[in-house]
Amino acid sequence: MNISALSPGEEFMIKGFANAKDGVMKRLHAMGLREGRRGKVLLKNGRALLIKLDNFRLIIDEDVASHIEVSNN
Amino acid sequence: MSKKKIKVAFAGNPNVGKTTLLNAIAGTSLKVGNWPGVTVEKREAIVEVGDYILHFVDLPGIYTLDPLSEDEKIAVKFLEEEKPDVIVNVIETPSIERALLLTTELLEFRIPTVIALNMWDEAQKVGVEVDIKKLSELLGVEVVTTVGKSGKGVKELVEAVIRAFSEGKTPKEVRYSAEVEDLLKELSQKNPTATKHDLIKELLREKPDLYEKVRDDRFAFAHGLAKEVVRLRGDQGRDLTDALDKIVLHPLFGIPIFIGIIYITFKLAFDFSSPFVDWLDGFINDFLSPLSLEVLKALSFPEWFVRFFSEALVGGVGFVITFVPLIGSLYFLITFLEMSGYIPRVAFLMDRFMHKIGLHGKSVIPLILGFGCNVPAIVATRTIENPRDKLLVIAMIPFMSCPARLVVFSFFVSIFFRENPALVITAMYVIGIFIAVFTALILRKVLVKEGPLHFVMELPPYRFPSMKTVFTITWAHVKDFLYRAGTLIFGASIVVWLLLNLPPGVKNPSESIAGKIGKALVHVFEPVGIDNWKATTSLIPAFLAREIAISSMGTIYMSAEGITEEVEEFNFKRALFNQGVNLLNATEDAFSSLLSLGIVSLEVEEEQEEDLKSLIAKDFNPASALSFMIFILIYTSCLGTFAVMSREIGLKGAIAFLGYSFAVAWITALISYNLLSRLTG
Repeated sequence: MNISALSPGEEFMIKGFANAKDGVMKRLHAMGLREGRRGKVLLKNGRALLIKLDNFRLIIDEDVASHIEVSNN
Repeated sequence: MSKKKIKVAFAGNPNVGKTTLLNAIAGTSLKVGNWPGVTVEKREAIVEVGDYILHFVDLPGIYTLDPLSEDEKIAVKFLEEEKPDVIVNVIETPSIERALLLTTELLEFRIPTVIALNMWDEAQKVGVEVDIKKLSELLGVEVVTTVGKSGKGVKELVEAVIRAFSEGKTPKEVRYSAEVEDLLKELSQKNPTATKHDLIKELLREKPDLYEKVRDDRFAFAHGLAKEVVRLRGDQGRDLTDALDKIVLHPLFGIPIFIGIIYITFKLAFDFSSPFVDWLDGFINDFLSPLSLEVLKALSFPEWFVRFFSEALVGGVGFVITFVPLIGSLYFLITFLEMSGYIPRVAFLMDRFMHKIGLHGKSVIPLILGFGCNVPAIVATRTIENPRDKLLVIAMIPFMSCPARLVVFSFFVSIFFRENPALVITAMYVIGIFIAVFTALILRKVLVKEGPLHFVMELPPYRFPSMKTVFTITWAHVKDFLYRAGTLIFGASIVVWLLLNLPPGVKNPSESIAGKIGKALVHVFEPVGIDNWKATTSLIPAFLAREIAISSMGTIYMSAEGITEEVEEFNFKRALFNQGVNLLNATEDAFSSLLSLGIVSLEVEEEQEEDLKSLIAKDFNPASALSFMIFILIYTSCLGTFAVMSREIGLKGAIAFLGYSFAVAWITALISYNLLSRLTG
């Protein structure tokens, strides 16, 4: 399941990254999205997703979200 | 004994408070500029402490030294080529785990390093504890805790920088997996002076398939380090940011709140600055200008020089300087909103709409700024990473109608559209937005076909900004603006003045070079209803700034019709007294305007001489007046915008855009002229 399938308030653990382009992967990794990290979906607005990991928040759009494989905790 | 220079680089993730910290150290010596060749903002400061001169350079906020964006490329290039003496790695302590990746990469340079654990107070609140002593021992670096906003720990930070430099304390070597280390060792035998950073770069050039291995090693080191020194307490308090975001980013209320905030921002900027703009205008034209003319005459300067002084210097540069209060207020409010964490949130709110025209939510920020002034708006596109998106946004901004255009609209509306002033002015703003969206769609089809790139951005928590920092940044921008007014705009004013006054001895503007160009231009403008040389000639100096169209129309009409302005006798004491009284009134107006709900300074006022209005009423009709307004709206006749555009997209691009905006302006004016002529018969 990818992260965009989650609803606001749901928690997740990142399992991996599917078919992401190199640049996208590098960016996500550098910004702190790694396999095994836990987080929570805070809000959704159309194509944009607001997620929180540890003490930081990221906005990701649907295209990026479709590459992030997660499990429901 | 001469003082020792220390070059200090500030490096850290975005939004970790580097600028606030630097500001706490440097105060008003903070300088805002650009990195050479690119449009990323460069902030630097020089501070003397004891026997040392510290030159601080604030590197762009980055997540990694593995260069992806323009920002990261700049930071890497600086570290590789300029070789700072000391690196200050600023860490947002609440997110220290993530920040340690960049720390690991910085340590590879083996440059004396000081780690500033910033926002130490926030970390305590959210339950993040760091073992400072252990961190310092493990890495062989100085570690200090700081709170940039209150200036806590700043003195200790400066002391640590000097200590790190004078003791030449290189950090301990970062060790990766045996496989990587063995390969690096081989390479280092060939090049014994190379840093670990250089060796890894070399290794990846030879063996690109090792990229993931190196990346994982770096992560593993950072992760291991975090495990050693970071401890999370379970008692994290309720987060104010999450609670506020539920309201501010609400699917229903978010947009109305956004519109409200933008409205308040513009109201504050316009209404607070407008009385000061008027005062400055009066101060320059009724005090400084006559005073200096008296002095120049008393010193028997030639007449042409006196005219040059009053027309090119006071009329050109002086006119632009009167906008300082507006620009300062706008910068102040925008910096405040940016540092408070609200502006990045607009990207989240507007993403859905912006996606329809092929852009991300992030791109809406510079567009909004464009309604205030196109110049800083174009500068603000530097936050857009993707060159394609940036080009699209830069091409949209000049169609966002700015207050300078409003001056021209108000003037014509008060002559030809007295019955519906608000409707006509609103229509101008809407036409501008429509043309901007049209331009983006065309550009997307013709030039840049691929869809927008991935969109990931960090939302910082809400913070009340340090007012000292907001003021310092505003002042740094105002200084930059004044510098440009004194160089670029002054140069252009001279050229326009020469065009209006050559060949030598020309008395009537119709015989000057500008008048001749104006007459030739009549052929171009005839189809859109602007068929007299006085109007077309006034468009030439209007290229400096649109509102000059009105003042130059005044000069051209008056001198062509042989009307002379009455010159009052100048009395220094009385004039000085009047200026003092006017300044007091302006201050009172600025504050009292804040109490009303509407935007007072945008209401149409009739200030111009009735003489000029009746002359213009003879030469125009409602259809041709609308043509003129549309022309002023769409054609990018603003030297400031043109200059900043050519810096961002190159001179050729800026000239091409000028041509495009002229063509669109001409076609739109043609359509509106024919429509309105038919309607009014």
